[in-house]
Amino acid sequence: MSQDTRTGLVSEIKGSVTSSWGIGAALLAIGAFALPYLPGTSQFEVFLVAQILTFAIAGLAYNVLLGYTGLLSFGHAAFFGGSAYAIGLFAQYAGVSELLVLLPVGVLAAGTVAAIVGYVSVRHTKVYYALLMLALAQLLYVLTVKLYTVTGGTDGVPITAPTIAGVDYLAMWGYGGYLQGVLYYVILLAFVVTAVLLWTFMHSPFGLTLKTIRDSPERARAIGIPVYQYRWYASIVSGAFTGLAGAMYAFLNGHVTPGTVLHWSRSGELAFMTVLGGTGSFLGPVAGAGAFILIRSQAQQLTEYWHFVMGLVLFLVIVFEPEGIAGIVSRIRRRVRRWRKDRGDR
Amino acid sequence: MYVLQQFLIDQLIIVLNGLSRASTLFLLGTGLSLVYGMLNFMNLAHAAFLPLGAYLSASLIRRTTGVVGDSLGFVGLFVVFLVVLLLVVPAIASMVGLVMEQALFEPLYDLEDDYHLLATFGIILMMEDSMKFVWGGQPVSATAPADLLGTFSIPGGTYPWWSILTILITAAIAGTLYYFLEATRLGRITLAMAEDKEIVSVSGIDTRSIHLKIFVISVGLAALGGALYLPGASITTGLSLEFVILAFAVLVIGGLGSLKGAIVASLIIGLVQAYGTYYIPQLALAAVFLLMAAVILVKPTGLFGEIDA
Amino acid sequence: MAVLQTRELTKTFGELTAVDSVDFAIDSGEIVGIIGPNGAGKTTLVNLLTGVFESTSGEIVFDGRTLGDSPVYSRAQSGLVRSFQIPQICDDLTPVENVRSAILTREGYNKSLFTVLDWEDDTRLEASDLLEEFGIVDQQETRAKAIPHGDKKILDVCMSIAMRPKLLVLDEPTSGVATENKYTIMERLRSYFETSEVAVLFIEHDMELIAEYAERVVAMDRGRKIIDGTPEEVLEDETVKRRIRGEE
Repeated sequence: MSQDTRTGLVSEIKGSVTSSWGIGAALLAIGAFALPYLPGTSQFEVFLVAQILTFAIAGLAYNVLLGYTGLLSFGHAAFFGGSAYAIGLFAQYAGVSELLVLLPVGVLAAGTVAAIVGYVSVRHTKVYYALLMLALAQLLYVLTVKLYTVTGGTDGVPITAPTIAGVDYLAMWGYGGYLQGVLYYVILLAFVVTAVLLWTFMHSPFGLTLKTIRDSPERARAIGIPVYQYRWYASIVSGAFTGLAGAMYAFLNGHVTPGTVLHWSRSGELAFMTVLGGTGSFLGPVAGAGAFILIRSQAQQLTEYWHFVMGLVLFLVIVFEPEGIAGIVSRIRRRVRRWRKDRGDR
Repeated sequence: MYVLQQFLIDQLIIVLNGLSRASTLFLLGTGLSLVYGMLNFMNLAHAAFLPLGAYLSASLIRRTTGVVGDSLGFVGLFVVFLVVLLLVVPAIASMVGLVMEQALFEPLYDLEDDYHLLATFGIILMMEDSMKFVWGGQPVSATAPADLLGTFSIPGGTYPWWSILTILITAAIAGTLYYFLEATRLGRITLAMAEDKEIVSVSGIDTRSIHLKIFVISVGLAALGGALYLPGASITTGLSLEFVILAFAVLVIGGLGSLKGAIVASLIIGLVQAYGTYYIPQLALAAVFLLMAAVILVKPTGLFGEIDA
Repeated sequence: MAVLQTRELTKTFGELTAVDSVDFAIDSGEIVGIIGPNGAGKTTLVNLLTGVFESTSGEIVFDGRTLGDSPVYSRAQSGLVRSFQIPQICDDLTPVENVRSAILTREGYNKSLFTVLDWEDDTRLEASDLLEEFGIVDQQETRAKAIPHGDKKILDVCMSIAMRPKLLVLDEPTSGVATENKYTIMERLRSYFETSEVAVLFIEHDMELIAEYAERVVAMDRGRKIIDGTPEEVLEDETVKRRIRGEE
């Protein structure tokens, strides 16, 4: 690395830290960390934010395929629910209730499902890819519902609060203390790890390879990229991190059913959040998850027909702002920049 | 001897069940296929028009029974039911489809494929809740037309005439559609559009009005599917979300935009489900998804399709 | 020493024979033009060489190895690289990222997950140098979809050159470019050809460019190679005049 880029990097970091966006991000991070101890925060808010972070993980993972590789999946419920179910069933049959064991089990299960499903799907794109993923994921859903002797059928599987490194925080601190003092931080940590890792992956040569494939598979082949292979890798990365989100969901909700984690409408929701936030920006899906959960919780309080509200939002976003929230933000940024420039010229 | 007889009777029932299932799937899937072939528009919300047709039928059957039930004889009442189910319900649903096409679907046609699926996912959520708002969340059924026809007896049981009627009506509609596509101007243009969109658009034909007509016809067919489905079953919310995948299965297995494909695929899925339900009830539905995945993998254009997505 | 050699290379589509037992060889450092009327089989030939289609019969030997059914990407990795008539570039990446993607692939870095590209710069420098050589200024903010058509053609070729090919197949490198700019592109290509050992095969409709830049010309018609020789020989050939140059 030359001296030039190093100073360039330093000034860039300085610049981003001192910019209003950097300050905003820092405040947000501090806020997220301190949330359970802020005055006026109750279990409800902590649970809500934990839910947002869970789906933010899933959104970031989902966007590896949609935004970076150019594949719309209608089957991510298989990874999300696959992980949640693996944890529930493993806990039930192996009698293990330790987060440090269950978490890898869930992620590994999702990664394995993704490796299998991805392997057969990557030859297809667009509608065919979406439908193939849909069929394979729905296969898992139907099997889970029908093989009820093993899976508990539509009743699902309870997931008891796990011990963490052998410590049973639930017994020590009660549910409130466990949620606000432990589980929330586990989820926050999982989110930070996901964001850092996926940001790095997407800005690495691997990420550039995926973007090349997204924009022009034909060109990608012509410069020596094995397109199917990299689509497969992307599926596994996306599936494993979606599995991490599924694991967090399982711990947070304490119970999973086929309808809540494996049904194809869950896949649709993940796609929804990602598009709502914006596929063209790394952090877009995080904003999307936040907006989705907040709109949904408002809509649920307002009416029992909240699905209608969500459907309408999705429809309006696609017709009027396909770039999602990130698109709106970047438009505002451009306007601010132009306004500053105009003011400076005068 | 007795064992053989029982086996044959079982087979007969399974095949009839399969055919009646196939009828519903055909009426649902063929419209989706027509619209996709013509517009390259993959409409997730198409499946919601089947429950719409079924709900409309339920309301109208009850209303009709209440108004004219006693004044007409057996035959008279049945004719009224047929008129309601075969004409009135598809007509009302088509009107709904007409309005929705212009307000919701048309703005989507020019977007990329991926957005079609997402936006119509939004629409299906809206439609599901709208139907729940109007008809409530409880299961709805209206068996009056099937009850009027009654059942015929076979050794060891009975079988409803309504299923037989459903199969016959669907077969007649498949024939009519075939005639429509091959022998009428609108039908031939529809087929031409599926083959080559540009040629049709430069030939001076008003493509927009054709899109609209075909869309409305496809909605009418799905609603008819619902109307024929209702007397033999009950409907509840969430049904659209289940039918979505079956409609796609018809499309994918038969081939995009192919009528012949839709017929054969409906028969295959219907029979697979019927046999599956009888012999391995746990895996009947799973078999359909496996079949769908297998077809996409082995022959992505479907059994009869020529359009590659 | 021939870098590429085909023996009775044939491709049929049903009844149609698109490429009909073509024998052809090209040496390192040689610049060969391919001409022929529309439907002569030029593009099919390119697709056979690069591995888009599998040949019906015959064989292709590249760099001493028979290619068989090896896929497009592995041929590209081994140095058999093509450009596209209609530019195939990544619209949402900047021109430098486009070229950089090719360089990183050439170096086998695709799988590295933990190197953040914003911080690492030798491949970046190589990419912007290459583009600068061909007259495209490194604009960090501009996406490839926003640059002029002529620049897209150049970018497309640069992505291929960045692979450091042993054989470069250029599919009409100047098609769709304004006449006054065609020579600019070809001159830049020429200076690149002169500084490397690359063998170049270029399809071209413009006979003046063929006469100016090709060292050897192959004329094709109805899937067959009809003549193979110096530009003078080929361009003055009666069949070529009648079938390809449209003279009666």
